Amino acid sequence: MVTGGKTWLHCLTTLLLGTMPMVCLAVTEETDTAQTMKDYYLSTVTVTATRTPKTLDSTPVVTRVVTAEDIRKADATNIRDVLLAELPGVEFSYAMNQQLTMSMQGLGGMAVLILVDGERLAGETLDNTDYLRLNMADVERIEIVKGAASALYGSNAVGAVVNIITKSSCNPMDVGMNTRWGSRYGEQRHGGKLGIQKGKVTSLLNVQYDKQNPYHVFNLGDTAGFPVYGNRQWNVKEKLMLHTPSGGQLTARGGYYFHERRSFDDRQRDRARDFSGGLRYTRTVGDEGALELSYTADRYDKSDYYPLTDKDYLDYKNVQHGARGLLRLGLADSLTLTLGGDAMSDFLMTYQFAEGGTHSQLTADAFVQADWLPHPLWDIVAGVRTDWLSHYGSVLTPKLAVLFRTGCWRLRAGYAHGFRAPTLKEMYMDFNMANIFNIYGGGEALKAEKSHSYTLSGEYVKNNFSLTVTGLYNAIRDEITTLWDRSLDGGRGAMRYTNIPGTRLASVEVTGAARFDTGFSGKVSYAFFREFPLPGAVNTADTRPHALTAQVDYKRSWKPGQLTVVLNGRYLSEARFYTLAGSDYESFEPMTSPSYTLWKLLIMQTFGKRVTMTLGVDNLWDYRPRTYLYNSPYTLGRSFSLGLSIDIL
Amino acid sequence: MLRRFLPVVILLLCACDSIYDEREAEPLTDGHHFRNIDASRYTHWVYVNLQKGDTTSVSVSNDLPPEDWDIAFHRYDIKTRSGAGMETPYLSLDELKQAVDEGTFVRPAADDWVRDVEDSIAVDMSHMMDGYLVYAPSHRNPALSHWVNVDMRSMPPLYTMSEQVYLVLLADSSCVAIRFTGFTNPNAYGAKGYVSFDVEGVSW
Repeated sequence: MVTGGKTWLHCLTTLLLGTMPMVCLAVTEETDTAQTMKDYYLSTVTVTATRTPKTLDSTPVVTRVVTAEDIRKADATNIRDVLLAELPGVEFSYAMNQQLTMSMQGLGGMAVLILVDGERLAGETLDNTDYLRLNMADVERIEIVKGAASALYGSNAVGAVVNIITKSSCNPMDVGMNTRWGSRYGEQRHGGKLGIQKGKVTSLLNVQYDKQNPYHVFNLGDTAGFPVYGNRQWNVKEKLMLHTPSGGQLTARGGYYFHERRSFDDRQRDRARDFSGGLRYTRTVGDEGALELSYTADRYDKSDYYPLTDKDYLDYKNVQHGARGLLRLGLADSLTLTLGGDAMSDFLMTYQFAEGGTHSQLTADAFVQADWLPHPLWDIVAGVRTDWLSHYGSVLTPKLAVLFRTGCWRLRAGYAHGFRAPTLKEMYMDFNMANIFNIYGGGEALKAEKSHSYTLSGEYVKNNFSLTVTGLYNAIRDEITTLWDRSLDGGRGAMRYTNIPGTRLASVEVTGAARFDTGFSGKVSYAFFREFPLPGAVNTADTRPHALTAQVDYKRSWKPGQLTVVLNGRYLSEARFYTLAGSDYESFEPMTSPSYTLWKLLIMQTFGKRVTMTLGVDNLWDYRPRTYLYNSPYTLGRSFSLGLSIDIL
Repeated sequence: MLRRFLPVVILLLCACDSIYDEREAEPLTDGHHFRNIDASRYTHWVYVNLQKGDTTSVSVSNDLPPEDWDIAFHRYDIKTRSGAGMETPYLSLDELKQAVDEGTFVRPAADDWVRDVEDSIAVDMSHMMDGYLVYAPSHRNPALSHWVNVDMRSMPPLYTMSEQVYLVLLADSSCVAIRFTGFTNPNAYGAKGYVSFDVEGVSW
């Protein structure tokens, strides 16, 4: 068991053990030639920060890219596994009723906008996306832009945008299957893919099933365990692309997701389903311009299933239909203009409205962005967007980002305004909380959360090395939360969504990466976080002040095929913060989350070009929390996994 | 293609409702199965007449029971008119019936019954976040009130329902066997504090 001050020691020891072979085997001759860090920065294209394809080297906004190879090395099933492996400031916790919630350097799930191929997702639980829905089977890369981005993406881009880009191309015939079994928790993951490219048509079908059984965790010295829910997911996605005679590309996509959660008492299971579809047409305009037209539909349901009676009752339905037009024009060699607009309808039926009622709203927006290169060393991107929401009104959000490049150095600075409009749930909730108290929406008096975020970044990339230092300051005001209101329910009191003044969050992230011809590569990210509460307030952000992720991997080709050994881990320091002390919802008490470190070792061996076997050891140091808090890792100790992947065609 | 595709997507999204079951107002009882008795209010006892199959809700603060009743529910608290009940080792009504028929389970002696006792019940949960609840004095049967175990170590609490069959002594000295089948109401979005059970008369 790893506790207290030993956490750092284990973290350092693991890192040293992981890097020792790097030194010893650096002289090995039979190795792969790795892409250098410089090549990586020059060849990796991102679209999220400016909605314009730009390389990592040339984008004016700091962007973190998680590649398909990174996802493979994390042995990730869903977005949670990837973010935990890649971003030091990210933590997933269990909120009320063991619902999964994310925090990213002091920001909650609602302040981080998660997109798939640039499209929003319907549905939320306790202000968080269904992260289990976001499986990694068909993902090409994930782009993470920290700081506000509402000038391009509108509501919810208060603190960061995570854009999951799915695969768009394949071999003429791409057929494969994979399976993974875990030694604890009954973990299983099975999947298959079918890709066909013929003439101007490409079809990609991906199916994945994953599950985990319910289990108990026990606090130290306690014999009565807490049950942890089990779950199972089905994910089916189809993407069909057609190159039109006019030179454009038409992409149709459809998806189905099924989730079921159960405990040991199997009288009732929580289910969720998602049905999604979309059409996108893109074509080039002139030499550097592009036109994009898209329609997307997404429906997320939640239901209660009763196995004894085989009844499945719908109690939540969120349906979104959206349309977008985007035009990018190269006006001159040094100026690119991006114009766009969206329209969306948002329908919500939930048991948390009075008598399971419904509410809906319309939103529309228009945005313009100029990308100006006044000098070969400078790139300036400025944009402004106006959003209109039928139940709220209008919001104007500007942004400015500047890149200065010289030699191996890149300096970036940016300001962006972000907002999060109150959701239909936050406005119209009318929910009896188990006959204990009621929770009411704040109505149309609720104001949007707003953020002013400032970023400053320095990046040094030379040959096999890169080092990035990024500072982020985010001032958030009119934060939306629930507060106790004694005047409600005839003086008995009730909860109500309302605005509170907000807070100020600051973080510094340092990421160093290296790649060697010897087959070794490594990456370390350290994040420092601090909350600066407004005068008279206390720090309530439970984000750890120090966090670190690290990965060392080694690739070597030998007779059977390629061997890859990956060691990755994370360290989270102790967090001290304040939490509500009583039902007056005004007094606070201090709370502490203990530090911990978790490490994973993966050994991947390919046999020929088609078969890959993966052996994993998770929680290498056999860590178990003394007390399982809401933000503890719900691990029972070291576990093993075995995976097999076969590319049939 | 757009004109063909859009209506299909919209139709599919709307058609998804048909995969779910409709919530239907169920009758309270058919004589043997009681469904979704609303005992969710902390401030009220719900008195049930097993013979007539009706219920009466009465405020805890002004607790005047109806004339004819057999068993009463307050969330997961239970009291009886006769003042006696007990838990059996059997897990189904059929198992109990078989044991009675075979003579392996005989009518409990007077001392075997667990008597209702003067106790207290929670009537105001609004101070839960302050670490205390408001209680009111009331009768309660300790054996029958075990039908749901509420583990308050986490929020929301963890609920575990007993699989056992319970015996209730009625006012006329006859006995009924009860096996609880649910504490949530599927027709009210899974709200807790609703009682469902199967009941059978037992005679020796």
